[in-house]
Amino acid sequence: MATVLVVDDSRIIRNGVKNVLEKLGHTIVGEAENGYDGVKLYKELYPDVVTMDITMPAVSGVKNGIDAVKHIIEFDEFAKIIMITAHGEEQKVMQSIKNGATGYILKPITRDKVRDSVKRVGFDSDN
Amino acid sequence: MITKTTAGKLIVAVFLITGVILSISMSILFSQADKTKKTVYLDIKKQLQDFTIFRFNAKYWIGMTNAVTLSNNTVIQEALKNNDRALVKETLDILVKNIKKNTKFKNIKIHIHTKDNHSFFRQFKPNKYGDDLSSFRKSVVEVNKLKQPKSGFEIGRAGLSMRAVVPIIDKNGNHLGSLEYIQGLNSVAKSFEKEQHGSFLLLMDIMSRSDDIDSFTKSEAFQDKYLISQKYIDKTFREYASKIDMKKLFENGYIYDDKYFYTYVNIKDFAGEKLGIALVSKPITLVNYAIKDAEKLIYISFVIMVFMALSIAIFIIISSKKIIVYPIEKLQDGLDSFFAFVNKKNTTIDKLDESLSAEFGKMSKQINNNISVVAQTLKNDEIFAKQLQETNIKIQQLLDNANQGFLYFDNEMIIGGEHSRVAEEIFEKDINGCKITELLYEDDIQNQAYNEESLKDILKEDGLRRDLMLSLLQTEFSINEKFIEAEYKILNDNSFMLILTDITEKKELDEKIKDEQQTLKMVVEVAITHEQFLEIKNDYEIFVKQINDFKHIDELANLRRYIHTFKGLFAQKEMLHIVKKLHDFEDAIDKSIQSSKLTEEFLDVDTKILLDWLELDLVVLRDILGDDYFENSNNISIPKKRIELLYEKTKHIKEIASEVEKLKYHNIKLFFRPYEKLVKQLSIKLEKEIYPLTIDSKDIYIPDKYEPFLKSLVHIFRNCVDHGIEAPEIREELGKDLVGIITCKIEEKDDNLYIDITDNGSGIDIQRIKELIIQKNLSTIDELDKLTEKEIIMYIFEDNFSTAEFVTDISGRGVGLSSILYELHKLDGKIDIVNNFTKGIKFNFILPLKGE
Repeated sequence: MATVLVVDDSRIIRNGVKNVLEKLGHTIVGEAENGYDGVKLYKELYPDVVTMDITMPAVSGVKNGIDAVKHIIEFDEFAKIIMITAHGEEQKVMQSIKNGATGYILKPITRDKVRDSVKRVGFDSDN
Repeated sequence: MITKTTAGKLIVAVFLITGVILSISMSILFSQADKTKKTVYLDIKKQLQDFTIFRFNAKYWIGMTNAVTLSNNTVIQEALKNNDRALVKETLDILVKNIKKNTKFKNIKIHIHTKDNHSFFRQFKPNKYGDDLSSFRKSVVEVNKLKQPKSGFEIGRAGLSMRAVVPIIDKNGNHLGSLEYIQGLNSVAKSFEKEQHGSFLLLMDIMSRSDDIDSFTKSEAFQDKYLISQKYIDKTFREYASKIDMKKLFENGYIYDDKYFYTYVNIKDFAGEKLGIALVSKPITLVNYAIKDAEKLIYISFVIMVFMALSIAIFIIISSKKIIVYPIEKLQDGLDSFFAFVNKKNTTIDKLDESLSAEFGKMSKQINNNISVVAQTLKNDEIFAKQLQETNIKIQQLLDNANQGFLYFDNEMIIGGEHSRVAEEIFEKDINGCKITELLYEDDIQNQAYNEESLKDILKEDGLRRDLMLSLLQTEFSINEKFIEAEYKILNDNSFMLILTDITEKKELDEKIKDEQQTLKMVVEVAITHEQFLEIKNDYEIFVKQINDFKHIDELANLRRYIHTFKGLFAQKEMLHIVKKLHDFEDAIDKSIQSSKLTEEFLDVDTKILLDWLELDLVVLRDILGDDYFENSNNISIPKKRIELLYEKTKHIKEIASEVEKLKYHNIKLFFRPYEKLVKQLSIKLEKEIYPLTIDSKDIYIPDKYEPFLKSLVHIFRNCVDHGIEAPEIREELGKDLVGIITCKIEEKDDNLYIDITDNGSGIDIQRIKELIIQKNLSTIDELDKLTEKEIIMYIFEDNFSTAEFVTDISGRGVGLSSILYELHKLDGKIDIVNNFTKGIKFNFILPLKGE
């Protein structure tokens, strides 16, 4: 079981990710709708895992999810960040991983994909 | 070299040992031969000495005998007494003459002495007498003194002779003097010649001669120290003997030269004083004969020994050849064969002969065991090597023949090393030394840079991140009008393997399958929702006839709404051809709206075109479902033949096959849909108030065989409307809702199909049923009393049973319910009825689905 911070500008996606994670037995400790808030919340909450949307509006110098990853990793180099991505965003994911992201989930989000990704960063799910 | 082989060494060893044995035995033999020689010499020496002594003894006793005899001669005694020399001379002359005449003793001398040791008469020198002998004749002095005879060698005036001296005593016992019998030794010398083929020489020691040596002047000297005291002399012998080394002779007891073998006997007087020697000899030739005889034996033994030693050596060699060399050769042959096999000169191995002697047999067995193991190992290795080779060939063939291209590139993206033929075919050029990113992204410099950077970064990563980043690389490319699938493999930390697969055909096939799948989806969807489809089709056909009414700028929004709706409806039916057309048309309308004028595109679309668009899908549907499929709205199922045909056509495509399989089945809802209409129509006809029938069911697909049963259920619904739900006025009286309810619930559970049909009407009056049973003579009151309510209710399913007072055209002929039971039993189904008189009834049908 892991504590998770969900960062996504789309409420629908946030809820979807939240639902799946909660069904898997993980705890959502925070939500952010842009990279800036995500970085800020990470420093406050110190979650086990972050799910990070790639494309988000730029806020206070944090341009997008890729940028947010960089900031979080600067703060905690062992942060586990899973990118939420869609087809066609491979290059952005690649950049995120270079920035320190540890995994990615390709939309559409399914329980199996989420379970696998979370497992890959070191956390078992309840079911 | 022969000594290098065991056999050779063995032979050398055997010969060496034989040689040593032979030389040892030879030296023993020769020392023995030496000894033999010596023994022979000693033997002969003894023989000669014995012979000499024997002769001397003979002389001694002859001398004694004759002296004794003569001393007792009375004439001699008288003559001595009377000093009558003439008488003595007379007597002795006759005596000596006779002795010389009758015996071989030719050199005898007799000397008579007086008792005072003076010469009385010398028979050999009658004129010389009266001389005193006492000074040098010890024996005479001794005999006259002791009056006892003495005999032995003694030197007298006549030289060294054998002398026997006896006292002369008369019959009265008066001592008169002594008589001496002197013998020469010529006879001994002669007997030597005769009996021993040898020689004899009596030699007087010069040192022992008396002062009076007159008588010896004539004697010959011998080697200065001796005088020869014998008359008969073998001159040759004397000549040889005079040269021998006397000193050596006395040391060894014998000596020999090239002619004689010499030995000697000491000559002593009666007192034991040494007077000289008797030098005796035998020809050396005779001695050598004896030696040769003795040696011959030794040589024979030697020859026998050599022969035996050689025989043994040969025997050892031959037997060792058999015992050691032969098995060794066998072993060697076996090992040769084995190594020939190991070195692949032979393909088989000859096993060693295990029947060899114990140790070799054991050894062979061990070697054989090991050979078997090694041979097996080698064989396995060979098989493995062969397999490896085959595998390599196969891999190369795979590389060349597989539909895949293989290539390697380094961390600078440069292709190098081996690559497969197909890889070149894909890029249609020699790719060696090319940059992979330039090949994959021919004109896209940005992507070239991005991928090069990514690939380089990937090499810096490891484990999870490496996999993660690899998974983000583009895997499908369009190269030279082919679809290529690419798979990156990291070989080591600075190079990649790229596996390229031409998936053009697969893609085309996928497209085809997708198309067919799409078509099938449409067919299935249309078939399943047949009625609804016909409605949509009709609506569309009606709508398109009015298309021209919408060709006005103000109507465009409406038109777009209609088109959009139809697009959605057809999309539900998976009719993608018309959907696409309508979508494009929608775009055209949009453009017209945006441009506020009717575009050419838009205006071109007329009724015919709109119908043609529908026809695009209808053609496909007709092709599969049959030309008349759209004509009859009552068609529920597609003709079986059609389905079989479709099934055959598509069974190789897994994804479609399952869809087609569905066509053999029917959605159970389809069978109940007519009952909704039925209930509605019947209620109007029978003036009953009933809520619309609700069919509570999921999409459950069932095969054809359930159709008769499901159709037979019409009787239940009729009964529910006709007999179940009361007329509104009655319901009002009963305090029920004026509007009756009939429900139908269908459920699939545990391989069973549950169909519950319920109404909240009057239920069944059991009493009324009983009356009817008796009335129709179907049973008796007594029997009915034994039955449960349910069993009694079951009578309504009997043929010709109707509870209705009047047979209407709707129900009551009594055949309906029985036909349900008939169909139900065909399907092994069961029925359960829950009756609540005045409140309603519930029919529960349970049908097994298992195996369907």
